[in-house]
Amino acid sequence: MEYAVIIILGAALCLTLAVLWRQRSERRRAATLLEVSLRLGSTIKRKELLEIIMATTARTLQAEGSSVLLLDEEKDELYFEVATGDRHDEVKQIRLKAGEGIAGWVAASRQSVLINDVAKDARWSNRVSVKVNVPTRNMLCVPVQSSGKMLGVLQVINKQGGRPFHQKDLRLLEMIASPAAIALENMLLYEALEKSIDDLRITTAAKERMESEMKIAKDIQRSFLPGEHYRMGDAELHACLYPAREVGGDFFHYMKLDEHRLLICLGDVSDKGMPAALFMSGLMIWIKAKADKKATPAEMVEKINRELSTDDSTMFATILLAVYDAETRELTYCNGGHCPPIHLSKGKAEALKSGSSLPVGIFADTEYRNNVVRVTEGDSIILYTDGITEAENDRCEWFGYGRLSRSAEEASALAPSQLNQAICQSVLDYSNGGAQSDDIAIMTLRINEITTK
Amino acid sequence: MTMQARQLGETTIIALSGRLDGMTMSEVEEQFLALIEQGRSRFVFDMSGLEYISSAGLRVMLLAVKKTRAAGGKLALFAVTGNVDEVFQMSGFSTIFAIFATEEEALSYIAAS
Repeated sequence: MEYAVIIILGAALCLTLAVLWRQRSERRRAATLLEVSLRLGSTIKRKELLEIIMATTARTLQAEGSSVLLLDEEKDELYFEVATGDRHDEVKQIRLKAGEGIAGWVAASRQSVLINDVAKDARWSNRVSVKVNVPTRNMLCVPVQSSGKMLGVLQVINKQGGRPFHQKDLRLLEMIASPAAIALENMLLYEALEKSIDDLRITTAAKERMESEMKIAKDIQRSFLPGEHYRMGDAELHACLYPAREVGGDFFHYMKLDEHRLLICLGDVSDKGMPAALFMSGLMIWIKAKADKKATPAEMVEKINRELSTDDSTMFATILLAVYDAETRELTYCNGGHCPPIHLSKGKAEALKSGSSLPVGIFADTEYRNNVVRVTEGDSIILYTDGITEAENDRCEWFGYGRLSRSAEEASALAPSQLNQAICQSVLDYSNGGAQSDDIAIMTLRINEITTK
Repeated sequence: MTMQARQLGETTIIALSGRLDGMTMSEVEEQFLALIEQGRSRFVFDMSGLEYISSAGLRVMLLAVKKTRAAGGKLALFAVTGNVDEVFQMSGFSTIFAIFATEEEALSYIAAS
């Protein structure tokens, strides 16, 4: 009887001790895991994080070494970044093919393994062990996954004191694998972010370089144009140009042919941006080269056209070239596919019509015609590009010739520069600050009273 | 911008619609060059759906003329109206195209040789 009581009491005591011991070990395990999670969350830098994961894992599992093998999704390989232990410098660039070795098997099967005699396991690949000269006796290896996505494997090697690993060690390692997965995923996100910031920096630098080249191109293009103001005897001229982009295809030119004749010219290359700017530069050179006091505007345009027309090119430019003769007070003009100039006389605007002629640069043998208009004191001739008439409002409606001629009539008493400014302002108001989609050029020639001579 | 091509005997009928400008010209250019590559050389452009043509758009039309001439073929347009007609008149482009009112007239021009 007494023995029975002692046995029962003894059993009860054992059970209580066992429960207490288990509770204590569970508490200890929970505390360990919490500590591990906190440590792993302390950095997102690759080198630091991998070192922390490996050091913490090896210490927690009382192992001689630990390593993290990350999955390279593109190549389908596992690779070592670093390894703790005495030889942690040597384990940097080792790669395992999918399925190779125990780590490869774990990554492929997504199952944990405990191997207490590594040499006897058929999956064992001694490639790494030999390479780093770390003899492996036993090991634990678990997959590291986050939301079902395979990130790599976590392994520990050689339980300290020559002891074997137990199932509870494997469970502990599996538990460590989840905070490790979260920390690794954060690291990968951070790296992706860093890479895109780097890419952005490179793109921005390239863009800045291009913008500076464009700025130089803009300055070069500007240098082809004469100044905005010019006066010759009774003729007063003002011209301005607003490219839609840094460089553009609209152009103007004027030059004194002799004591009483002034050449004026304005046009539009059939594109915008750099290709148009290059074509415009060539065109400006030909205009200057073919300007001739003995030739009529049509003859000059024919010569310019012959130089610019090639079989292969589809670049062309509309052009209005005119010569004002102060002696005869006649304006002789030639229109190569350009919008009709405005003749502003006594406050009334009239379009200077001419038969259709092709722009320059299309067919070398195109013939051009001269038209003549008589002007009197106070008259203005306004040349412009379709960037004005085709400026659009919010409803995609054009500014049009009608609005242009009314704006010109309203501003007819103003000086040429103010008249140009007034027209550009009405275009701007009409398009309501919307993006300027085409280049704009405008030139006004005013015939003043003769004050001298 | 849309470009639809259909074949009628030896002639390719190309219907353009929407806006033909700097933004859309490369699309038309590529498709037209592909047709030339295939050995086509007789073209009729249906311009009835075209709302707008810019100077960049005119370049594509010029390319079509030059390529067709080089291929020894023929090209005609029909139903050139509104803004597009104005641009063709002002730019002198109306002088380098055979322009007709209807598809039938354009087709019979192409057929005559």
